[in-house]
Order: sequence, then C-alpha cells, then structure tokens
Amino acid sequence: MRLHEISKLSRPVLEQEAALTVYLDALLQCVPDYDVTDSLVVEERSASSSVDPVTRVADVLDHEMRASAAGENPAVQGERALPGWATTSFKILLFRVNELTLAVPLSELNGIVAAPETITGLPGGEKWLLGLMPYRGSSVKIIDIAYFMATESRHLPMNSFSAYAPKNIVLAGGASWGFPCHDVLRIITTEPHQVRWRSDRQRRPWLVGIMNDPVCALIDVQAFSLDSMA
Amino acid sequence: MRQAEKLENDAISQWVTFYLDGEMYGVNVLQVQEVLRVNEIVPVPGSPDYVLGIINLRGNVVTVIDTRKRFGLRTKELEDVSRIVIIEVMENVVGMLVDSVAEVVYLRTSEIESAPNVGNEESSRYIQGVSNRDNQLLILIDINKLLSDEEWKDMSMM
Repeated sequence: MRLHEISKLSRPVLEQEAALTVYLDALLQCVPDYDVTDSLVVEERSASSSVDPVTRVADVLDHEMRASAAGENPAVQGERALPGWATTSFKILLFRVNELTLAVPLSELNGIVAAPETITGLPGGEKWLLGLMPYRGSSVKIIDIAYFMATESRHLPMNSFSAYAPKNIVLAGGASWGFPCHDVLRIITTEPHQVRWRSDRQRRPWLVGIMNDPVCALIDVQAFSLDSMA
Repeated sequence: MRQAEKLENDAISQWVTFYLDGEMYGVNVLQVQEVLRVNEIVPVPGSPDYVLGIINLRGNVVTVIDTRKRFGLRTKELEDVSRIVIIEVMENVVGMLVDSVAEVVYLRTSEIESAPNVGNEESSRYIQGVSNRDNQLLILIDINKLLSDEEWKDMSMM
C-alpha cells in the first residue's frame, strides 16, 4: 500500500480522535496538571474470549460485591481527596452510550441487566429521568446519562427510553437507579496515576477525571445520586 | 406472633386503576365516586389549560380535568374507552379524563414504595408511590395534591 493510501485510511481515525479530544477537553474545562503520567492499563481478560462480555462483567461484578462485603478491599482516603475507590489500583467498567465510551468504577456498581423494551414514564419528572423500571419486586429509576454528557458542541440526549433502545441497564446506588448503555465493552484494572483527576467538581460533579488509556471520561456514579441532584 | 402483628399492621387499601399514555395509574377508591362514559364536555372560556370543561352530572355541574395535560403528557383524541373518573377532593367533586379504566386492585402498605425522588417538586407532589405488580409498575396518585390549594379553591368557584 502506498503512503498516500495509508494516509487516506488513517484520516477518519485521526479526525475521530481529534473530535473526542475536543469533546473531553470541553467536559474537563480545568484539569489539574499534577497527575498526568504515562499510562499502563492492564486488561482483565477471561480465559475464553468467546464468553459474552455482559456475562463476564456480571461474574466480575458478583466477585467484586462479595469481596466488598467481606471487607477485602477497604477504601482509604487518598492524599489528593480522590474518591475512596481510587486510592489504590481499581477496576473500571468501560461501556458505550451511542458512540461515546465511558468508564465507571466497578466497585460502585450493583449489576448489569438486559434492558427491557419499555419502562414506566413518570409524569412531570426531570428531563434527565427516563422513567422507572421494575426490578426484583421494586422499581429502578432510569437516568438519561447522555443528558449529562452533552456539551454545547455535542448533543447526545436521547430524551426517551425508546429513542435510546439500549442493550443493557447498568445498576448503581444499591440498584435504586441505573442508566442505559448500548454496549458493555470490558473491565480493566487501572492505577490512580493513570487518570487525570479533576480537583474542582463544582460543575459536572459526576466527571471525576479522564482516563489516559483508553481516553474516556471516568464517571463517579455516586454524583448521580438522586438526592444530590434534587 | 410477630408475623401476625406484622400482617395486622400491613393494611390493605383499594385503588381504582386507569391508563394514561400506556402507563397504569391508581387513585384511592375512597375518593372515587363513579366512572362515566364521556358525553358532551362544555368548554369554559378563560379556564386554566388543564380544565377541559364542565359536564352535567344528574343536575350538578362538574368540572373535568384534562389529566394528560396536567401530567405533562401529549393530548389525545377521545376514544370509546375514554372515561371520566369522578372524584371528591376537599368537598370538590371533579372529573378526571383518562384513556381507560382498568380495575380495582388491593395493595398492602408493604407493597407500596414511597414516592420516588425525581428531583422535581411538581411530580413528587402528587405521586404518592409506586407498586410493582407482576413486573408492571403502578403509579399511585395522591389526588389531594393533583392541584395546589389555590387551584382547588379556583375549582370550587367554577
């Protein structure tokens, strides 16, 4: 293949990366420069790559929740006021909402379930509330995560659950709320220094930092606690 | 013994259920007087947008609320299954236009989750709770809070 052909092929990838960088920069606004280092991300791969990623993630989640309950992984407050789960190496779940990859700490999640075809809408609810989903005899509030990810230049909100057509619901907050996702990608283990942490989270408190590799927003799911948004 | 006490305290309430935009809602049966087929609803000039109009109910004038509009749902043409649920709130007798009426269900207090916090006073005001019935969520409405005190007062003067 000639050089100009290679150049042509790689252009869309470069453009996509540039667009992602612009988007993440817009989200970040001001990022402290104290912790930007080269990254080394270790992927947690199961023995068989043919296993459905959702099943794999569900298995790891179960293990994490058991470990957490048994006190194997106590959170220690870090010197930079990092979230409790980020003081030592931590596992994160990568998932996709539309074309956007997002990361959430695994220890903060309660499960991943297949998305129902419809959910129950609540009259007069906030714009970011898609509705309620029945789950284990109770109800789970479904949050429009794309609503929060939108910037002036990037409009992601789906506005309705049917417009989302998600594959899965990621559960958090003791399974009292969840958010839809289009793809559960994989689980990786990362170190605190591999994240550009935000020092000031007055605006967009849910954006705790930016992962270096893969480059994506790291979300603090606790910031979506409905009590804190009310 | 403790189990028996628990059951005794777990009171049962009855709810008239109806549909609006595909979702099932319930209002306490104690506040429902009757359910009517939709006949002529006479518009009232200058009334709030959530008031559809008035009907003549055996010689009494009853104001009919457009429940879809009150709930912020898109409006819909009347159908054969549309019904007016006549309710009594604070000595006001009013009608609620709904898409259809389903059934009367019995709910134990333990089966009712308190009003979900959705960060919006408007909705949390009149949503009393939610009940998961056979994996379908039933939204329970506190009719007393469907309108503000001021609005109920206005209603009594119509």
